[in-house]
Amino acid sequence: MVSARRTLDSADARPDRVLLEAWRAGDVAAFEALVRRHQAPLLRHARVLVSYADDTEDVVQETLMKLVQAPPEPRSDPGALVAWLHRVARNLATDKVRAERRRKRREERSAQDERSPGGLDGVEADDTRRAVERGLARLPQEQSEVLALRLFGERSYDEIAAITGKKAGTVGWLLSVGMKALVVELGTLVAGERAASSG
Amino acid sequence: MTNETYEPGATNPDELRDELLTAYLLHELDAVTRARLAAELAEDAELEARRRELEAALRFVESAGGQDALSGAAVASLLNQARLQVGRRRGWRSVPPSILSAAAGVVLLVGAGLLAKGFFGADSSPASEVGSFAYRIFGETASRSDGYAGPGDSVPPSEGRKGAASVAPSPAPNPTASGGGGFFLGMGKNGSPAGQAGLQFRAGSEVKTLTRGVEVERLRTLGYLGESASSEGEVSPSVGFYYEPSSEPHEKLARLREELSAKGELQADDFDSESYGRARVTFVAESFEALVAGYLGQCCVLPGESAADMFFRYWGDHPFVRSADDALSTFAADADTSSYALARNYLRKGELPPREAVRTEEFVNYFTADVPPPTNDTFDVRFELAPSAFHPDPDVWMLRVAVRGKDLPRFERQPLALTFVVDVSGSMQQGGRLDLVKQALALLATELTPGDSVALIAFSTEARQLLPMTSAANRAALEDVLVSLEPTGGTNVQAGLGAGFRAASDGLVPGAVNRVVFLSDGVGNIGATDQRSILDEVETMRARGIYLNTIGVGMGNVNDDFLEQLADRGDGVANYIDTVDEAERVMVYEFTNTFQPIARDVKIQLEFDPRQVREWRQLGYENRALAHADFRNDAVDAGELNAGHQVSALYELVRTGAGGTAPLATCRLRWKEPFAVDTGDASERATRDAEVATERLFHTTGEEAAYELAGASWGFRRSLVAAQLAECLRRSKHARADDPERLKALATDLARERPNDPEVVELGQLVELAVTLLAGVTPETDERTRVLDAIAERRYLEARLEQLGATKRDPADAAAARGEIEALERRLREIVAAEVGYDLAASDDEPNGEER
Repeated sequence: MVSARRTLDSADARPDRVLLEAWRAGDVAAFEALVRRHQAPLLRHARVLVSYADDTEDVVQETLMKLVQAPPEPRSDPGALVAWLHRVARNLATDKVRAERRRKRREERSAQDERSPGGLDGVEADDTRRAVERGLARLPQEQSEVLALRLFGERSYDEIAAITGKKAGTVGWLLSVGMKALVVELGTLVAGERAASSG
Repeated sequence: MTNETYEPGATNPDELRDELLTAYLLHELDAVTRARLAAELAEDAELEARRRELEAALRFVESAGGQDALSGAAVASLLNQARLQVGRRRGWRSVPPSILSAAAGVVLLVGAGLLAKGFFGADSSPASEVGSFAYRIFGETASRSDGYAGPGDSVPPSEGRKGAASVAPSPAPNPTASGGGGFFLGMGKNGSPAGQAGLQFRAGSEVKTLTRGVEVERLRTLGYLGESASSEGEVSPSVGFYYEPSSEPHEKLARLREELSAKGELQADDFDSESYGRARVTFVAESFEALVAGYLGQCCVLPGESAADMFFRYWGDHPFVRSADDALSTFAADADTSSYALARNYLRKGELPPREAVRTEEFVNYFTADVPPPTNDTFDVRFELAPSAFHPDPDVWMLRVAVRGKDLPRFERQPLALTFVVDVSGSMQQGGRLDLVKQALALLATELTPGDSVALIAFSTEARQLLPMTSAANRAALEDVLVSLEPTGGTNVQAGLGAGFRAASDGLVPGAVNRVVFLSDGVGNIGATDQRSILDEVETMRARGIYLNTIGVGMGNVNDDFLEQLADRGDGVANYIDTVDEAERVMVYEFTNTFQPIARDVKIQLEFDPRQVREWRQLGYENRALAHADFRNDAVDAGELNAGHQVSALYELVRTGAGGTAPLATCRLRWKEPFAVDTGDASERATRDAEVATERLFHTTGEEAAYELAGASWGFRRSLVAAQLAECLRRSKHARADDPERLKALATDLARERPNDPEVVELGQLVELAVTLLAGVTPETDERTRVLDAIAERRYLEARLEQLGATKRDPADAAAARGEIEALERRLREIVAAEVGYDLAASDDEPNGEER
C-alpha cells in the first residue's frame, strides 16, 4: 500500500540508464520520458526546499535544464540518475532560498511583515494536500525533505541517503521523527483518517 | 527492502521504536530485523497500536500526494531547449569549417523551428521534422547548376506573381564575381552567445565571433526573424544573418553538396530544384516580412514602457529629458575607475574595448582631482558651465558637477589593517602578473607605518595563510613572504576569500580601517552558485566592518564584472593594474584614497530650473541611477567614497536663454559616515551613529559660466575629453555625429598645456588610438541603421509628446509625423529588400508569398 505510486511513470518503461544514454545520443523523446518520469518527485522535493510554488517549478525546470545541457555519465547503479537529479535540485533550491532570504530581509526593513495566522484551523478538511504541505513547511527542513523524498518521491532510504549525503539510518530516524512531528501539526486531520481507516 | 542489516539512526529508545516501525512500514528493514519486529508486533498490543497509528499517518500524508507535473509550457520549453541542444551538437559539429567557408553565398538555415516549418510549408517530408533542429544548407543563390531559377531565368514579375516573389539576389552581371547573398539563421538570445558549440553573434552590430564555420567578415547580423516556442518568457529568437556573396567559384558549392551527401548529412530534397525553388520563395517572403517586422519591433515603444525607457533600451544611453517633465537627476556616487584602465589595455593592443565595458563616469573619475578640497566639511560641490564642445547651437551647454571629498593627510589617517589575498594560480605566471603583484605589494609596504598591520593569504587550488596579522613595523616579514610566492594550481576564489576574511576577522584591529585586498587575474573556475555565496559572505563581512577592495591584474579579456561586484558589496573600490606604473598609482599615490573611506552611501540629486533649462541629459551613470524617492531612503545602498576622491557628473543642457537670480541647478548631496570599527559599546554607538545620513545643498546660478569653451578650466575640459572618449567608445547615440577631429584637438590642447602630466598625455594617446580604430570599424551609420535610428527617434519623440497629453498635439503635426514615419518605413523595406536580394515589386500583392 505504501509504495503504490511507482507506476506513475509514462508509457516509456525503459530504465533511466537506457533513456539517459539515448538522450545523450540526441534522442529528444528519451529526454521527454525522463522529464515525465522525474518531474513529480522532483517537484515534491523542491516544494519542501523552497517556499513559493513558482520557485518550485523554476527549480525543477532548471534541474532538468542541467540534464539538457550537461547530462551526467550513465552509470550502472540504477539509482544514479535519480540521485543526481535530486542533488542538483537541492543545490539549486539552496541558492534560491539564499537569494530569497536576502531579498526578504531587505523588504522587511521597509515594510512590516504581515504574518498569516498560524495553525490549521482555517484549512478545509478536504484540502489535505495543502494541509500536508503547510505541515511540512513547519518542520525542520532535514525532516521535511526526507519525508517528501520518501512519501512523495518514492525514494528508498539508500537513495535518500545518496541525495542528502546522510546515512541511511539517519534518514530513517529523521523520517520517523518528522512523521511524528507532522502528525502533531496535522492534528485532527490525521485522527479523522485513522478513524476512517480502522472503521 | 535491503539485504544489509538496517542500522538505525535514533539513539533514544522511544525514537528507536518509531524509527523501526516506520522503516518496517516502508519496507526498508532487512529481513532479519523485519522478522524480529513482526514477532514483537504479534505479541505486543501497544506496539501494534503504534504501528497502526503510524500507518494511518503515512497513508494520510501519501494521499495528499496526488499527481504533480510541470506546467505544459515548462515542459514545452524544456523539450525545445533539448532540441536546440541536439541541433547545436549535431548541426554544428558535423560541418567542418572548411566546408562552410568554402560555400559561396550559401544559405544556411540553422535551428529556427518557426522558419523551418514555414520553409517546408505544407509538404511535411520527414526532413522537415529534422529541419527544425538540424542545419540545412541550400544552394547558391545565383547558381544554375541545380536547376534553380537564378536571376537570369526568373519569371518576369508580371507573369510570375502567382509563382511568388522572385527570390533572386540583386541581379549581378557576373555572378561569379558578386553573386547574391544569403540568409543565415541562428538561434540564441539576442546579443548573447548563440550556443557554446556553434556561433556567437551580436545583433545590431558586427558579428564578432564565430567559433567555427563561416568566414566572419562576410556575415552581418540582420536582427530578429521571430521567436520560436516561447513559453514563460523563455524565448529562443531566431536571428538572421546575411551572408555576403563571395567570389568563390560555384564549383565549390557542388563539392560541398557532394561531401555532405557522402557523409549522409544531406537530405535528398535539399537541393531538389523544384521543392527548393518553391520552398525558398515562401521562405524568403516570410522571412523578409519577419525581418522587417523584427527591425521595426525594436524601435518602437513596447507595452508598459515609457518614452525614456524606450530610449534607454534602444540606444543604451540616457535620453534628453525635458525639465518640465522631470527636473531631477538622482544617482549613486561611484569612484570606480576600472573601466578606463581596461579600455586602455584594449586600445594599446589595437583593439576596441567591448562597448558594454565602457562606463563614461569611470573615465571621468579616473583622473586626479582638480577642484580644491573642502575646508571644513566632508564634501564640497563645484559647478562649472561652458558652451558645448560639439554642438554649434548656442543654447547647448555642458555642466560639470564635481563632488570633491576631503583629503586626509598621511599623519591623520587611521591605521590600516590590510589582509592581502593573492591569487597564485598557474595563470598568474602569464605576462608576469604575479611579479607585478609582488612589486605592487613591495611598493605598498614602503607606505605603511608602524601603526598599520598586514596579513597575507595566497590561494590557488587551496588557500594558505602565509602571514597572520602582523605589525607593519615588521616589514621584513611581508617582504620575505612575497619572495616565496610561486604560481601553481587552480583558482579557488572561494577558499582564498574565505581564508582572507578569517585572517582579517581574527586579526581585527580596533580603531583601524580593516580591509581585505583581493588581487587576481580574473575569476576563473567558479560558477554562478559560488558567486552568490561569495557575495553574501562579502556582505556579512562588510557589516562587521571589514571592507573589500579588488585589484584586477593584467587581465586581457576579462569580465571584470565579478571583481566590481565584489568591491561593490564590500564597500571598496575595484582597481585594475596592468603595468608597474599603474600599480604604483593605485597602491601608492592613491594610497590614502584607496583605503580611507570618508563616506558611504553617497547619493547625488540634481534639480534643474525648468525656466532656465529646457532639456538635460546626464552622461554616464547609466547603471547608477536611483529612483528619486530613494534619495532620502537611507535603506537604499549607494556608492562609497574615499579621501581625496572627486566624482564628477556631466550634463548636457539645452538652456532657454532666460537668466535669473534663481539657481539654474541645485545639487543635493547625501551620505553616511563610514563604518567605524571599535570594541564593545563604542562600536554599537558608532554603528548607530553611522546610520544617520547627512545632507547638504549646493547650487549654481549659471552666472559664473565660461562663454567660450577655451575659457573653461583645464580640469573641466579634461573631464569633457574623457567623457567624450567614453561616449565614442560606447558608440553613444549622442556622440555619433560628433567630429572626432574636434576631440583630438581638445585632447592635444590639454596635453600641450600640461606636458608634464602623464595622465593627460596618456589620455591624448588613447584618444588618437580610439579615433583611428573607430574609423576602421564598418560604420554603423549605414543607411539601414540610419533609417532605423530615424524611425526610433521619431517614435520616441511621438511617445514623449503623447505622454504630455494628446490634447496639446496639433492634429496636422501628428499626421505629418505619421507620414514621416511611414515614409521611413517604406524606405526601410527597400533597403532590407536590396540587402537580402528580395524583389519587393513582385511581392507587393502577396507579401506572404504563395499558399500561406
